[in-house]
Amino acid sequence: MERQRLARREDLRVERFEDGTIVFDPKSAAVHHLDGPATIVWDRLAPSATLEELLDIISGELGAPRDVVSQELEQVLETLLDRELVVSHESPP
Amino acid sequence: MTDTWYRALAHRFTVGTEDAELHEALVAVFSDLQVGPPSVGVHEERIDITPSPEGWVATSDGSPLFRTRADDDVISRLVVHLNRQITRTAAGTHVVLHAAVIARGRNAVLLPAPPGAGKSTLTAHAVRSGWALGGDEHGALDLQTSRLRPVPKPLTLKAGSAANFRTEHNPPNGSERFFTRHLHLTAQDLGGRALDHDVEPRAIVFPTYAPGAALDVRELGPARALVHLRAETFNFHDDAERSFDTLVRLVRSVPALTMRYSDAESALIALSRYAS
Repeated sequence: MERQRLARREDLRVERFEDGTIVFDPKSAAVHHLDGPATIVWDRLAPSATLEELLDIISGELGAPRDVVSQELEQVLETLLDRELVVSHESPP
Repeated sequence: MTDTWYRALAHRFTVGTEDAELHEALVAVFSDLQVGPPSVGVHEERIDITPSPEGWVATSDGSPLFRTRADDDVISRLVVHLNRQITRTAAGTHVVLHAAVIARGRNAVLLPAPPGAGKSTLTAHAVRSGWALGGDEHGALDLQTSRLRPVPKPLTLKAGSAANFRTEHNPPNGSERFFTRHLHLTAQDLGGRALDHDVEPRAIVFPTYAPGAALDVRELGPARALVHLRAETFNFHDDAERSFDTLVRLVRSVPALTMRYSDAESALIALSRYAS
């Protein structure tokens, strides 16, 4: 995942609520609820970012050590990739 | 015997049988759905239920529908079939939730819940307490207006849940044998009335019956409510984008709550504030 650029799928519908973000996938008709941490990651995937860039941004914003952020970030990204809400491309060298 | 016509949401049907007692039972059970004869060119499902030496044989427009040996299975099997038909014919006009709808005037409370949550029993108590019956199985939200269209099928209660209501059940003479395992109660059986007009949803309440539990009502965030509602839809895929839009409008405009209860009366008092 380190070398990949990650981006939100462009055809998804997003609705914001006070208790999280809802992402609607019109292809599968699935409705996904992103909680607080997932919403933080989701918001920083526009237009796209690598894992390293996300780590820099989120650990900087939260004032948290990179190794603490890293574990949760990877879990959130795995979920977003599994649900096909995020797509990845090889990052140019 | 003359045909009687019925309509539930967009589904029109008639049920014919040679058995006089079953005929009387069906007319009583579906009384809230009765409509006039169809116009020329309107398709109406014709269901025939015929007694035979092996039990009952049901057909839909001449094709096999079900067979059963048990008298007390006939109406339940028919209701299950109609539930599917109601949902199928809602495509393009309504997103249909597995939910009860109870109302006062034009204000309704939507009660979505999976089977076993006590939804029908709570609805029966509500109708007995003066709420109008909008349905105990289908919460049909109009895709354009977000209003709820009533589907006042009879309330189906299992024998265990039905104990409180058996005295109100007044089957036509000779038809008791069709109601031994399940009661199918109309609003009128419960001393109430069925809704005959669209209503505005004022609250979404996800009920859970828990024996002995104190009443516990909690707010549910709109995002979580939306996910729960999506899980309780029957026909979301028929028009997914418009169904999604309708559910979004709903959770943005009315409160969503979870309600754990054991005492129906207390639960209904809690719900009253949303329909006043």
